[in-house]
Amino acid sequence: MRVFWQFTLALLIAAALFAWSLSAFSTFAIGRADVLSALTGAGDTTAAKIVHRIRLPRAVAALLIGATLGISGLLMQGISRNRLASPTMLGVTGGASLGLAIVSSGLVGASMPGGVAAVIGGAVAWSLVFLLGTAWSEEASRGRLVLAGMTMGALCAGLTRLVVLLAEERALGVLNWLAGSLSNIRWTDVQVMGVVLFGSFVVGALVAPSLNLMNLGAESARALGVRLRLLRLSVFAAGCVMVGATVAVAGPIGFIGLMAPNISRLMVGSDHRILVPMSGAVGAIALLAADIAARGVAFPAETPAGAVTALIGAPFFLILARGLR
Amino acid sequence: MTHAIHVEGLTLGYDRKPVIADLTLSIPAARFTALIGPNGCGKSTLLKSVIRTMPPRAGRIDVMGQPLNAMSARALARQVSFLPQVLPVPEGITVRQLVGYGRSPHNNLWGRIRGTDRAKVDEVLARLDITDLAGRMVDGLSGGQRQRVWLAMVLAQNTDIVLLDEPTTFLDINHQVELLRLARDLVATGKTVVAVLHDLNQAFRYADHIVMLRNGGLSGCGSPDKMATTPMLREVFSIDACIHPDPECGRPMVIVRKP
Repeated sequence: MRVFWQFTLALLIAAALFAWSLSAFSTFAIGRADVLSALTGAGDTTAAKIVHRIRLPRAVAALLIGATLGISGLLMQGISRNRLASPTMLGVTGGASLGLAIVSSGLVGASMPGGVAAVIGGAVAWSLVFLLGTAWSEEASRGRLVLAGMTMGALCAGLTRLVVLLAEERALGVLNWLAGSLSNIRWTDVQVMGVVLFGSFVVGALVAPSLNLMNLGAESARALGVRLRLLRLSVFAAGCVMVGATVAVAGPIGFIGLMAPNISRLMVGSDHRILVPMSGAVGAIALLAADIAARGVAFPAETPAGAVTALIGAPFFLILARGLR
Repeated sequence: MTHAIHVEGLTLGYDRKPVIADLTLSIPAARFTALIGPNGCGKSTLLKSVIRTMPPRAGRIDVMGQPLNAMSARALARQVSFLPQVLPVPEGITVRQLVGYGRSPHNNLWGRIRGTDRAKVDEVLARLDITDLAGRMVDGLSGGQRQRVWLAMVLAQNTDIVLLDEPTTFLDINHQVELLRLARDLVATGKTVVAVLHDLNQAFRYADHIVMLRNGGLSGCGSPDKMATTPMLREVFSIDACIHPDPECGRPMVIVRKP
């Protein structure tokens, strides 16, 4: 029952933020009537068109991307049995960004779709982190995995910068995107993210009982009938697609994947069957709030949402790391 | 005598040096087998290979007459349960939840707990006298309590074969005896229990069958009376000991001689 009210509360917060984000911090005055007419599809005022073409897809995308990142972080924490794991911490976000930067700067594989490059980049980086961190052996320490992930993240960031420097003429666009911003979202992006989020829920629901058993250690999980290799492979594949898609659509946005699952745990406990939807909900709310803040802090100028999540997420990470020791 | 577990030509190990080398061994069904031997002789590794967390480099393992490779993960989990030596501390779950996880090989893929599962969990909690801990968080328990709670999880799995890796380590003497009697009760209901034990006197008194390992190989196996001999203990543990029948029930008792 408590869980039901928590989901209701999350839904109400999301709805309120969503409504606010449609009209908040606009250089062109947008009234409540414009929002309503845009939502019902009847509006043809300039304000209503702005809401329909720019504000609405952006708000929906923030929710979808945030939810996808939240669930991806939860799955990664589940299989590595490490609460500090997240797309950024495991190097997946960095690898995806590098892959996309290489393709979009036109250096190699310019004909490859950006999303595919991001997924491949993320997969390569994550595999390397696992090899360096020997993450799948039971004796591996948690610190080693995080260290390997951060090293990989730093390496990818450096290489990405190099790629941008080499591709001068397109550098500005890539740099803008590298900061992690929702300002260029279109309806097609929303469709892509909708499909990805739906897939994330399906995978999340399928692996949730196994992740509950992973909480008891890999040995016990195995003894209770979990197919470890299949579980790890599914989470790996799903995680790469989820993170790759968000990076392709909005650029690297950090810390949502770290914060959402941990906040959800404080709310609803450790059952992954409930944690999957809750991490999605918390992630969605967090990114939408961050995007509104990103528009508000230096209004009328816009800051990237990725900067806002980093600003809130970095201290969160420190508190979490200290608490876990 | 039928075999619950049979291994043949089994070699196990992480890298070049094998932990278990070319081991052939049978564990009798519906008996209590104690695995004993010095530290690092491969006792735990052998148990891990039966639940397939340790893939064999050579040889084969049969469980209840079936080759291990041919069994699905869930089918194996309905036949064999395992209590690890090092118990992780799962955060944020209650004792009842943990014990309930023991039912997962039996319930549907989404891990729904049914009425029969709940009854089994209650029964196991009562059997181990930890019903009053049911609502507590696992991460707040003492070492001994945690060991019993994990044991309850293993019992809730209700398998024909129960593997226990050093189950008495964190228990006080009272709970050690309770655990060994519990193992006897399980055997009386037709289950096979295999436990790694360090206390030789407990092994000889409570087990039906003794397996002695040394340096990754079999030193000998058989009844406690056959295995508890001065030359055997010298070979396996490098100790000089004499054997006397214990005054309580006449089973072999090890007394180390003065140097």
